[in-house]
Amino acid sequence: MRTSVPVKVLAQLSARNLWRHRRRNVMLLGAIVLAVAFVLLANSLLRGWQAQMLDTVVANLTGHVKVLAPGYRDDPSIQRGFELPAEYQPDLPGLDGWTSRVRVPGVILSERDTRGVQLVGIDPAQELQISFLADVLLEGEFLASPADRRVLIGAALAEQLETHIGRRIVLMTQGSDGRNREAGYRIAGIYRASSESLEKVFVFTGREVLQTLLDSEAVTELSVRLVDNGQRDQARELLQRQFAEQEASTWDELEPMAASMFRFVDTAMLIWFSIMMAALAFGLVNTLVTSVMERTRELGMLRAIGMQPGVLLLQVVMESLMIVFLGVLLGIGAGMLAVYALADGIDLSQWTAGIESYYMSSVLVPVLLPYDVLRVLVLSLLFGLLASAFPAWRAVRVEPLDAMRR
Amino acid sequence: MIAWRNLWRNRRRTLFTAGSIAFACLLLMFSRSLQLGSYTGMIDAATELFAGHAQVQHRDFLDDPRLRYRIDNATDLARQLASLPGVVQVAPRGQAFALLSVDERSFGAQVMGVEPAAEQAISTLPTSLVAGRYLASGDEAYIGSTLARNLGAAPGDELVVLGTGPEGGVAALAVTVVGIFQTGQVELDRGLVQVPLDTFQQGFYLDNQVHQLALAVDDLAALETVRGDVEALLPPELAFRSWQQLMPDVVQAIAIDRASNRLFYGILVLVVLFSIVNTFIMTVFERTREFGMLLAIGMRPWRLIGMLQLEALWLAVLGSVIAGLLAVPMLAWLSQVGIPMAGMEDLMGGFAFPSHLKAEISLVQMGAIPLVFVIGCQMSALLPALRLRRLDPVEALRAD
Repeated sequence: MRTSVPVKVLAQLSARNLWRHRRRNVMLLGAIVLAVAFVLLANSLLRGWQAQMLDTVVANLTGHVKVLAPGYRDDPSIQRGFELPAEYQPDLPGLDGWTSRVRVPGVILSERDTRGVQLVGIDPAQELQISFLADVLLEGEFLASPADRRVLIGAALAEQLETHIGRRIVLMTQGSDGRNREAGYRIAGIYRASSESLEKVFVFTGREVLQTLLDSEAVTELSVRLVDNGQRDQARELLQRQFAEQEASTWDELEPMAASMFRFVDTAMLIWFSIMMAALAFGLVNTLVTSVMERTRELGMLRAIGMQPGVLLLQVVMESLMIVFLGVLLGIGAGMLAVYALADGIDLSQWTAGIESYYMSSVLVPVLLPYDVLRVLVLSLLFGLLASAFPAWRAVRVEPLDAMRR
Repeated sequence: MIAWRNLWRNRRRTLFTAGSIAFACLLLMFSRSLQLGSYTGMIDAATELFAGHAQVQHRDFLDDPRLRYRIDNATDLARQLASLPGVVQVAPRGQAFALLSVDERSFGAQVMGVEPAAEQAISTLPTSLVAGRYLASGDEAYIGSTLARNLGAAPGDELVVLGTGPEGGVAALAVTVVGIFQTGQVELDRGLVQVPLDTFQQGFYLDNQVHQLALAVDDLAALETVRGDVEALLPPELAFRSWQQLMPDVVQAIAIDRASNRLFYGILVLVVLFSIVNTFIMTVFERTREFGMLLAIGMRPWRLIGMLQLEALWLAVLGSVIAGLLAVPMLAWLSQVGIPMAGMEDLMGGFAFPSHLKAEISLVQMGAIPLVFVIGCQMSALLPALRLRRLDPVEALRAD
């Protein structure tokens, strides 16, 4: 008789116990559903934020992986450039796009004003595949080729310089011999990006044009965009092997601030989850203990007719898991509905200046990862198990004789 | 009294329910206080770093910082401003964009003419130095660390500043680097040079003219009063800019944080209230017999409801008191000492952030949080209690 545990009977018992007190268990269920749904929604909003962070950082000319000459980050000049073999083509798994650039600090002068900027020589076709330039609102024309002798400037910069499309501006920077060089260029187009700081910083022209101005054959960076962020370490190693003399770095090494915010979001998710579950725990334990106490007599009887304490324990645990499981399933469903309802994103445009500091863009779209759903499910069940410990212990402690006497 | 005793008839449950209220209450008190503290810390650090609590500028300077949008007769105006009640410091600054060169290397940056003594009183920039010393007077320059690295400049090096004067002529300065600062703020470290104001005004052909008068006040909460006084003094082309106008990103970062936290707290309170409703359902259910008896001997249903409401009140008060007893001493301690934020610089590097996060206790907040639970408890008790109106004494007495 003591060999098999009657799981099926126990499950029936638990289900009936829950049903016996529908009203309070519905409230408990409601609390679980609400908490789980919210945790899931918050999770997907945070994931959406992470995705934006990644997008912003990668698109702002960083890429997932970048190859730079040693010392370039301390001294961003053309002397810290490197030559790319002709017909170079990176061979990386999961490659989405790549480009090489010449990027040096410089000064831009219009008839009216002067500003310090980053001069970026690009290959327009390749650039459009990987950076924020693909998403800008452009007035005028885009650059046609790496040999296009015109420039693209940001709208905010154009305003500061009081200049327009078709006007001439002068670019000044340091050539490969360390001397200052300058030349005049015509403005092909003015771009409006998601943030003013981008518009004020980057001035684009053809890569070969900038190389001519600097009197150099070198590029200063090779930037690679991958399909999947998870492949960045692998890509970095492959690139490091190809460019043994240079330094290959991933975006999180290049932008430590964004990277630590990215990791912080992971922690924040767990913290929110724990707080919600802790708040739930009080209600769950309370209800379970009450349910056990109400049945003292019944439990005593069961013990008296020979039910093993272990089986009794199992029954209480099962009752807890059952309601938690049901609540979590409904909660996940409700959470998914909420994510679906917000699929168009939350409009944050009223906070344009603030969201830049958080690497957000103006519309926050929730991202639901299967991994997160699974994690919520598993952790919640674990929590249900933990919450049933105290009530189960109370149930086992019931003395058969005392209980029956009541 | 009866309500209070009733609570203790089921001690475990009361403790659990009060515990959940106390937990949520405690959590809210803590996070609200730390939140308020972190906002104050952020605002203090941001205003003290450089911008000041407010600035007087030319009307158009904020949107479009140009050399020609300037303040005439700066010395007189500064003196008048300094004598206003509530204003503790005025720092005049001239500002222009220029090309900086050390030997063959050149970079563009903002050049700012400052009065070293005033600057030391209003800004933490002079103490953020990593090499050399702050400005004293004469042809000296104090430059940002990234800029120094880019230029290859060290204290003692000669720095040539080339800019455009107000009439379009060439403005030139030759200064010696005396110090290098590092703030963690990319824009300042990469793009700012300070020189003494006299030197700046000579180089850029300015005659007692500046671009901003940075103000420090003794009470930030009274800033709008100061605004009124200052604006009364100003000629029409000048404007008063509060720190909120100077640094909208800080204001909005706080607003975003506030909004997301409000949502989170709301849900947390709701989850806790669900379990409180639960407690009352259980209470009413268990005491059906007792209530039936009371009704049978002639007690009015609304009095029973009133008693339950009273029990709910005691419960909420109990939870809040526990939370308050735990929270207040800890928060008081945290508001003095603060949580060291070392290692968080990366995360908060986008903003100026203080080294210690101090809690800030607001009496309004401390009162509002328990109030939320008192009201919430009343409503959650009312839900099951209303059933008592329809309770049939005979049926109830028969229940076990």
